[in-house]
Amino acid sequence: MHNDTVGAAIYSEATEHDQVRAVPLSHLSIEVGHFYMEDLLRGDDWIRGQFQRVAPWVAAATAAVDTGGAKPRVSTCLLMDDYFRNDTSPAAIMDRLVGIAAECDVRIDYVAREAGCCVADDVPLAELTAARLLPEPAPGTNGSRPPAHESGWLCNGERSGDLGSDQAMRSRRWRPPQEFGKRNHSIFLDVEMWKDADDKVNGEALPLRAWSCPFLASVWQLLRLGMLRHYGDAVAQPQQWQDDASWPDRWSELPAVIRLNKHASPFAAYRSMSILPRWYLPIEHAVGVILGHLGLDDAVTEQVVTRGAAEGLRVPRSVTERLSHVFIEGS
Amino acid sequence: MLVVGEIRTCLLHNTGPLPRAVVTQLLGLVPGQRVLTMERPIGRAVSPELTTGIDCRLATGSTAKARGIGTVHSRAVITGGLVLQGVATARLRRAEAGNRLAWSHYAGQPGVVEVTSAADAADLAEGYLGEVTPLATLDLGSVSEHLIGGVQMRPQLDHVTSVRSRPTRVRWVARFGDSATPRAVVRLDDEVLRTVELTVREDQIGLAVRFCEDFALHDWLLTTLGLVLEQAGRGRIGGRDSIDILSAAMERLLHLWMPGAHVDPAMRMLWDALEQRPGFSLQWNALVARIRDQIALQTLQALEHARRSNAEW
Repeated sequence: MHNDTVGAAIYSEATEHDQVRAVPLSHLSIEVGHFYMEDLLRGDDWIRGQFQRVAPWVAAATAAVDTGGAKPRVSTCLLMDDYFRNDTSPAAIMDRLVGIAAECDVRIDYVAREAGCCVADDVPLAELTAARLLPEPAPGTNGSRPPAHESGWLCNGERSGDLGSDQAMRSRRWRPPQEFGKRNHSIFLDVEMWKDADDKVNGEALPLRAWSCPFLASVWQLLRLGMLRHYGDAVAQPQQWQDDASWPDRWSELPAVIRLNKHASPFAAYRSMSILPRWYLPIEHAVGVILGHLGLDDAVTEQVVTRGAAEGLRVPRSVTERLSHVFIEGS
Repeated sequence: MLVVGEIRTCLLHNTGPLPRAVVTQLLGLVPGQRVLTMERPIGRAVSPELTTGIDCRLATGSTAKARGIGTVHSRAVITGGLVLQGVATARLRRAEAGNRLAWSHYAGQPGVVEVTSAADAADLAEGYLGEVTPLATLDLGSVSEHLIGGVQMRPQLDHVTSVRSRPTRVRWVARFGDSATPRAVVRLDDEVLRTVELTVREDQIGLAVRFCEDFALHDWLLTTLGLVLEQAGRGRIGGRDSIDILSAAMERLLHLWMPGAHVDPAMRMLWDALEQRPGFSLQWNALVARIRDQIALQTLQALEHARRSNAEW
């Protein structure tokens, strides 16, 4: 039988479009602690004190979560710093830590390693993030010159300068720093994101990049907000920890993110909250500046905003607007 | 409000066309981000989008002042493993606030420049197209140029070119209209500068950028072929016979001519109109015919010369 219509053909190539994998999302990810190895060596009472102070805020954050009417999906997580120091053993620490948290009614769904924010499953997360840095232009920047920036440093404005000495006044003149997005007055911040040191191995100089705590904490926030991809694929996906498994002696033997609670809501979320001792304030300020200066993958942003809208949630496009903090007493 | 852009098109600094795998390496400008490629009807690869921050004056046609703050997008495109384009684009949108906001606001909407001005879209479009060599106003040409410069320095290239050519510039604006039928006003300003004024529906803006890229590519091909004929007409250049110059161009450029191949059907009517008047393919075919004739003629002459030399012996 003859077909009257002109034949139709649809042609496409798999490599023609960028496909960005979606990650499961909770409404809120609550960070219930960020522990340095030194903290853990202070003893159980100190750890208990931290969790006791955190517990009411976890309850408050859970009660305040905006779900668009749905059942709240809230996950909790803990960050262990094994990047700056890793000479302790998970076997000696983890059961004790989880036990104390449980005593204080703080549930820990996920545990992550700070070194995993540098490289996770062979994916260089810190490098990928650094490649997305979008330096802030000074007024008058019209694109005619590539942006100049000091390698390893990021600021939210223009650095102060020495204008040289004024012969007549016999004094040195100084130009104050300036925050570009200021409200009346500047709060200028200059953040060290990394330090490149030449390390000698067998007499050969190898470049070694040491990432700063605020930079890795920025990667950590991006992971919790489900914003990082590697060639479109999800990164540092949580791996289930079996209850009866014994903890290894080395942190590096653990995955970047471990799920302790198999009934936990997804690790990543539309919004993140961090409950931290108040001395984390400057670090988190630096994190805000770093996150505010990243040109993240627009397809990922679009995906998260669209999925939120489908759930009746307004998710801001800017990641810094998706973070919140509670700073508690602590030393 | 409107979208403005500048596309610079040039030959990749490499002897011959590069295979797909090398092109993909060459355009992998952002770690962890894919290079998008197409094989049919002709190889085309697109780098990940780069983002650059700007805060500067915007040109207007009137005396109205305008300031733009935000980011511009740029990407590199390679067609046929040989022709490189730097494509810089900015979407101008009216700012809600009168002052500069925290940078996170602008970083969260890559490719968007927020405009503080009393000027309307027509005024900004006129201003943008009027400032051919911007000194203080938005300079998308330089953004494209930096990108091209970066790609041309990459180690995957042998930095030798076999066809002499000149980079061309297409400066374009797209304003938004209600009609599903796009409109274009195309102008050749001088030997290297072309201007395109588009009116498209707002949701077709991505397709409009692709049209401009395709137009820029074909306009460059035409310009280059014209240049090649001119050079060949001057006889021996740099130790190369005119026949070498012509054959090199034939071999490398001829198969690239496919106007509208990578353009969405919604925009193809713009090409149809350009084919009617002035007739891009008409001119291309005429140039190709001339090159073939010249090669044939010179080959015959060479043979005749050889025959006579032999006869004299």
